[in-house]
Amino acid sequence: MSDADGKQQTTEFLNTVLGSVAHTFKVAIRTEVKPGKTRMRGPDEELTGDVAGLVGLISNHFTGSLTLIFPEKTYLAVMSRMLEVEFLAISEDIADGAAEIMNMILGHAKTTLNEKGYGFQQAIPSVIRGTGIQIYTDAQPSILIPYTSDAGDFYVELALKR
Amino acid sequence: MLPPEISILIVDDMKSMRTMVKGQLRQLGYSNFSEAEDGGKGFAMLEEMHRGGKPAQLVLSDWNMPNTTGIEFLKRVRGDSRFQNLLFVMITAEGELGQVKEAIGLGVTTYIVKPFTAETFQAKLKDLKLP
Repeated sequence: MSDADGKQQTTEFLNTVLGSVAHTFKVAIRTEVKPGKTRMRGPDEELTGDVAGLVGLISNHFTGSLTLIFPEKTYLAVMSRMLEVEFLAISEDIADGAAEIMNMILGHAKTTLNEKGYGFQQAIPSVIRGTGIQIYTDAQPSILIPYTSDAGDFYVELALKR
Repeated sequence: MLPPEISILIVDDMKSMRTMVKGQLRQLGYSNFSEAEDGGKGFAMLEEMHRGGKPAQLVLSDWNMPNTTGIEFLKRVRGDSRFQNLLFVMITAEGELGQVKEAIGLGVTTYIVKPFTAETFQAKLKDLKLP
């Protein structure tokens, strides 16, 4: 595959993910989200959050991971809207919510991309919780998309290997 | 519309999703729930409820689960004479046409793609009738 083809596929995947994030938040969480400036994550740049949903990506063209990172305050607001119950702390009822949101985002993106021959495989997302967790990936390029919403700010990271 | 007292089995590996589905069902007047976190445990639950004389009347199942997926669970359910006519709704992020067709081919009652609005969920359930 040429570099140009690889770049085009990365761009297409990224744009699809952006659309799927917007769709998932709008439908399941009734929240409009706005992506900030997409940028490459620096090699020593720390990415910190309190709850992360992540999923491995395996397709015909690349492998990697997709991560959704929330600070606790945003996460509680998001889960309160999704479940229509106010949560003031992260209980067992919502502990895996970031993984479920990631499941919806990937499912939506996969439906679109597989129609174009990307061949993404099913995957079960995981969740990581803790105060000030740091996310690292050895897959390059790592693309960071900061999001804002009236539920709070969060990040999406896309890390790909060809 | 299904009667409010029906027995509903919710199968999803994500507790948050099971909580969300229960909340939506309560809004529709339902409250008789059982839960399982994968298709294997879901099938075991169906058998236990059947043996106890209080069979499940509606299953709401995810597809993408560890151990036994929703599609494998559906296959087992439809392959068992005790559960051939059991209402089985797949609620899943897997929305590819081929997957929907696979589930329909195996006898799924209806299919809801995540994410879904409360209105979509209600409309799908309101169309269901007990066999």
